[in-house]
Amino acid sequence: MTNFDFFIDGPIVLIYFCIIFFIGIWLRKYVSNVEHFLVANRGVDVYLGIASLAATEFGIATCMANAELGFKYGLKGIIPGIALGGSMLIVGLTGFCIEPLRNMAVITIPELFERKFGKKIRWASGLVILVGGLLNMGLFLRQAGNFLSITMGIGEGYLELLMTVILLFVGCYTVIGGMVSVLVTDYIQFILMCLGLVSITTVLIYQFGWKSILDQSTAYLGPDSLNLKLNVVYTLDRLILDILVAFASVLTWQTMISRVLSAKDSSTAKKIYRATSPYMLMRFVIPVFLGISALYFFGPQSYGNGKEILAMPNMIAQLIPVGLIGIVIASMLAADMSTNSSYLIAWSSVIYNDLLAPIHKNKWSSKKGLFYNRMIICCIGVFLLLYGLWYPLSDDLWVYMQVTGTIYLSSMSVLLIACCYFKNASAFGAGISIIIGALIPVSYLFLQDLSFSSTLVKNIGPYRFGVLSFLLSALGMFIGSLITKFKSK
Amino acid sequence: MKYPFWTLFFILSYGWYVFVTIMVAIRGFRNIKNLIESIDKK
Repeated sequence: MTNFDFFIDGPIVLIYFCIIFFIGIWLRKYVSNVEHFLVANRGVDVYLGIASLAATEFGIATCMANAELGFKYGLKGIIPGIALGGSMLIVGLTGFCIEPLRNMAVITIPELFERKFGKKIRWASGLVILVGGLLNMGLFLRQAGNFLSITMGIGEGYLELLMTVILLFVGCYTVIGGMVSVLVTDYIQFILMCLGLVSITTVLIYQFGWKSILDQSTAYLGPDSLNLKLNVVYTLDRLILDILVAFASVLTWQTMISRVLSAKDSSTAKKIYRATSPYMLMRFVIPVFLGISALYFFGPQSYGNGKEILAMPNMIAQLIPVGLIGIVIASMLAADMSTNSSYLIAWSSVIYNDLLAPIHKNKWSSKKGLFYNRMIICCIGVFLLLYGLWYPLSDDLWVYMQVTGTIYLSSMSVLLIACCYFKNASAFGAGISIIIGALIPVSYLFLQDLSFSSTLVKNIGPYRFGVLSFLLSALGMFIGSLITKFKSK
Repeated sequence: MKYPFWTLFFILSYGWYVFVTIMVAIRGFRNIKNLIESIDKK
């Protein structure tokens, strides 16, 4: 059941689609070489940077994943947001790693690694970034399809069609306009997103009442759901992983770092981080509130056993009135499109700049470089479509995103810190770090589905696997570098 | 008031969110203009 009306809300969504599409396409004339395409000529100033970074990191998948946290754990679900916002603020204040990174004027992090560790490490880094990044993004389309099919009242049979339409649409303006299109459409999407999210919150508080929502959350999930203390549900290992992932994301997540690298200078990059840090908190606050509101609306029984993620879109479908639901869906589409377009550009930049570097050796003409970048984005799109349909999600979506992100976050953060501040860091240590950092989370993803290992793996849990990945990756770098130092003596 | 901490937290968070969005809406537009001009010049 949904309040979406195709004759009233449909045109709102359609008009939004048309505006974004034409702006995205119109900006193609400002893209004449690879630097324009991937880092928008490094001309991003503070406010555009904030809009782009905030819009990129808030998509439908994030919203559904974090609403699921709210539905299951209450306001405790905000903890990862505090970790992320705090990390971004600290890095923005100190310039830790991002200042030297921006000053080096590279396009991707692996490019920086080549200067310290050599070509092989650059290539290996590009590979783990790509694997981790693509797996992480793999379920975005499916969640967007789920959200739209529920809120617009389109049957589940059209899920694939919805996924394809979203992808084609985003892919089209990203392929043609590159980072310039992404930045400008991010700006529009950022404003629309705010309008939609604030409207939903207002409707929910007006309909249910602020106090009633929190009272009911306490009644269903216990008094612990309204404080940030650790308990049996939100454990210490989970908190440690949240903090590690938060810091590593801020330092190395390609979509975040690409804003640093596109900034005018390192001082602008730091300002963007400082000003965006509260958004990283809001990225959790808003969806978690939607999650506990859905809990109030449906109760804990209606969406149990892995279906919790569907509670929030169903609530929106049934509660938001005709007219407003069109704006809300357009705003959520805005959030999702800005995320998808930035992610497509981010991973294509890694493939072109790092994985294909031994082939093109930076000698290809602008035209050829642009052509290959566009082809890469198309290939990534096809992969996302197939993977999104095929992969069965067995954990919280947020946990899945953390585990897949850890494939590269663990080793890349270690390498970046070592590259900037550890004089004795060696290529051997970097190699060990990359292998360990990728192997542990990938093993988790595979072993959890195999019958002989699933019980053991689930007992250990994704959080310990994640924390172990960070710790051993750092240890690998340290020991590997020490071995190199002793050998050279 | 039953939940003073969370009430204040949400008011501040949402207030800040709306305020910065308005700032970004106004000044971000100028940033876009400058960005396009800088690309045009090159």
